[in-house]
Amino acid sequence: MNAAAAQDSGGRALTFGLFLTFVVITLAITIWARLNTRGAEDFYAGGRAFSGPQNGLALAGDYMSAASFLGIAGIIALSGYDGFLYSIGFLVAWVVTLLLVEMIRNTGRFTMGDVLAYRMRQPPVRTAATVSTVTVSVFYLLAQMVGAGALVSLLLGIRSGDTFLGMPAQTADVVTIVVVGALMVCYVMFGGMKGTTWVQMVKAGLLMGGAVVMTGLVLARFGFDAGEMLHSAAKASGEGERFLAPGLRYGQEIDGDPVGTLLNKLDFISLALALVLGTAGLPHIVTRFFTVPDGRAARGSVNWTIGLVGAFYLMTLALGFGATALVGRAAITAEDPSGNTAAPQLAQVLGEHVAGPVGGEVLLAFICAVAFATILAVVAGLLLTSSMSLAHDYFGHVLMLGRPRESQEVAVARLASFLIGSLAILLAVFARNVNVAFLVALAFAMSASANLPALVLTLFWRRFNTAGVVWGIYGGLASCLVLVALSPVVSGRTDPATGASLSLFPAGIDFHVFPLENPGLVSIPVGFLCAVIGTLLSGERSDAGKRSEMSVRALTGLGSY
Amino acid sequence: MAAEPAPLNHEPDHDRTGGARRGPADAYTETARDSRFRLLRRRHLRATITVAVVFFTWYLAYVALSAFARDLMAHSVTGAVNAALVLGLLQFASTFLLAGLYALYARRALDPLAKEIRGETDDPPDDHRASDEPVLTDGRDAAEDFQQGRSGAAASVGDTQGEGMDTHRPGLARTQRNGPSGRRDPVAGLRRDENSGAWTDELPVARPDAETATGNRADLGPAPRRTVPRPRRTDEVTPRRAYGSAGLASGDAGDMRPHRNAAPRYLGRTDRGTVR
Repeated sequence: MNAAAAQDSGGRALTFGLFLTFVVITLAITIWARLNTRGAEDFYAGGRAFSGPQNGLALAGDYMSAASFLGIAGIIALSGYDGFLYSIGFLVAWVVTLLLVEMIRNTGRFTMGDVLAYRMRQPPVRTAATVSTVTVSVFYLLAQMVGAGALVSLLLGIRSGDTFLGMPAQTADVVTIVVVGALMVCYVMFGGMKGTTWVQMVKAGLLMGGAVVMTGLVLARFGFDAGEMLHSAAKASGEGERFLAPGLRYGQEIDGDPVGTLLNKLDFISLALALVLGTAGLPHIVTRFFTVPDGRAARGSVNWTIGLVGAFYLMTLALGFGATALVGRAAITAEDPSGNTAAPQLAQVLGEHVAGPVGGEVLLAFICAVAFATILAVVAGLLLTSSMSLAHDYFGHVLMLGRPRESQEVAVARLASFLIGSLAILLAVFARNVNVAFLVALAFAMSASANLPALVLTLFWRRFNTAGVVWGIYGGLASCLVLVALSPVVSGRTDPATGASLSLFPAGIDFHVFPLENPGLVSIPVGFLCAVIGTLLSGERSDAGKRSEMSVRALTGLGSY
Repeated sequence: MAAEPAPLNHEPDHDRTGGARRGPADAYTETARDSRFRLLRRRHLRATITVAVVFFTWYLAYVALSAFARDLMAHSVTGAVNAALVLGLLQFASTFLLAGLYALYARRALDPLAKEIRGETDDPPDDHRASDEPVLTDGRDAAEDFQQGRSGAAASVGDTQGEGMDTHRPGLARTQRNGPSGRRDPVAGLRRDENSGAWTDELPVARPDAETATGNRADLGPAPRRTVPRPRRTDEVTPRRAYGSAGLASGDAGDMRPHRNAAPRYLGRTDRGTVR
């Protein structure tokens, strides 16, 4: 059962057709949004006219990347329970977001920089906010785009040696990245926040719909008996009961090596911390808070997101275990060793069971189209955020000292989206053969180490000042980057059996000093510590007037935009 | 948890700028000193810390169990369902529960209070033209407010505003908040100390809705105007919309100066009312 091979040209055409339909619909939305975008308020915040549930849906669409749909289903299918650990981190993180969302919404205007710079000296804080926003977003973006290239190739059945529309696989890979990038730039440049939000809402609807259908079909196969499904999955995995307990992937125990075991476990805790604390500081999530009329609607939208994300991750449980039981681990790894094709393969099997080969192709095509939509919506959100930050925070408040013309700033934002988008396409094309999956976890870790301390302290600590923000952001970012550069992710990890390198650098180059792959355990405390030390070392007293202004505004919404 | 009687030491001395007008900082500082705002901050902080501590402890415990108590996690509960799965599903349940509880608490205990404070002191910092515009008053003035025993802060800020303004002109949108609809009425769960004039937290969790609030008002003197909601509630959404398109020329986030040509394009398009 080979998804790509079994998919004949008819199925491929169907996938293509559905994908094209999605593209046409979203481009129509983009044109509509362009015609209805008239100022900064529209371009940056969609006119603040979205309702709580709408924004909740868009937040879910912005947040659930291909990594969570295909990735988590794949991890569950291959490693069992440990994939569930990942999704729990992704969900629980929204509690932190819920606690902060209203204050952020009330004190900010368009970007995270607005909140951080509220009571601080503008230029240094705005610059730091821009640096951190662009770094986090571009890293995340890169991971998504490289993943998109690989995935789209895989899903369309383009594999090495195979040709597609007369192109060899390598070319098709590049073409995919360029097409995804061009669509992303289109959505953002022309549609702004309005277009992007609607694209994300459509995508979230599709994703939830696809997941519901597949979960229903999986459970129906087991007579709606979840226990039976788990049993079959455990049996089919060949791991038995171990498959349903933690430990197959994260925090692996190495016999006779207590230190290695402990390090593995610490690495897992480090990842869990970054996941749970990173979400609230992700710039593309924060900017979504400003698309609703007030703090209350923002809180409502996060509640909606929690409901949607939670329901979705519960369904991935059925998808993952269902894939193990119905597709089998061997068939999945044959297609993609990291398991990303588990969900599409499961779709094919389920469809075939219901309506024969045609049914299999239809469902597979639908799930593939959903995966494309997922990637597109997430990269658009990321690009929008980084260009907004560059235009609003850096151009508007640093270069133009807070006095740019509105039209000028929006023009800069559009230009920035084009430039950053092009840069991302270029980087993704060059990095397409590198395993950049670690960049997602790194983006979460950077967000938790650099953005979260600054956000929390500026909202809750009276003494916090300009130096604190700047130290916190740069300290958190730098500690993350340095730790990852010195970690086994970059150098020194080899496959014990073959001796091949599992790091970025080839085998033989080994400068790793830091033993963990996830820097969060160290870098998050370092970020907080830097923020506190920076505050205490600088003689600057925070402005009492501004402080009470911010506090009143954050809690009551008085005077918020 | 009765609040310490916070002395409202700002008598209506709104002459600092030589007239009956105050800068934005004054209004914010005044609000920050208001005992009701302190109460709001205390409640908010308490709720935030409680939720944060509960969820973080529970999540870390779960992660630690997953990492270090593998035997316990693999323990079967029923059939294929083991402790790890149950705990994981409980993480989902607790997330939904915490989010729901926090939202409920915010709606009951924080929102009414915030609205109360907002309705009272939302002082458009640069909306000086407001006082130049012809205003319709409902015949009530600040002095009357004092006689009715409202707080000093309320009156002092209120009377700078063209009390009871009832026009729907966009430029005045913010001032409209101070119209008869939503100001100066004590919020649910609050009682005013007869002697100190401070608002105290009579009940830790405020009453669920506005009805209770109005019922509560009986002992606070005649202020019946809120009982019938006006057809168009302007106090929550509209002003922000009116200021929404405020130009970038207005400067940093803290500068709330409206753009001179700010077009209130969303004014009145929808009204996500605030009445619960």
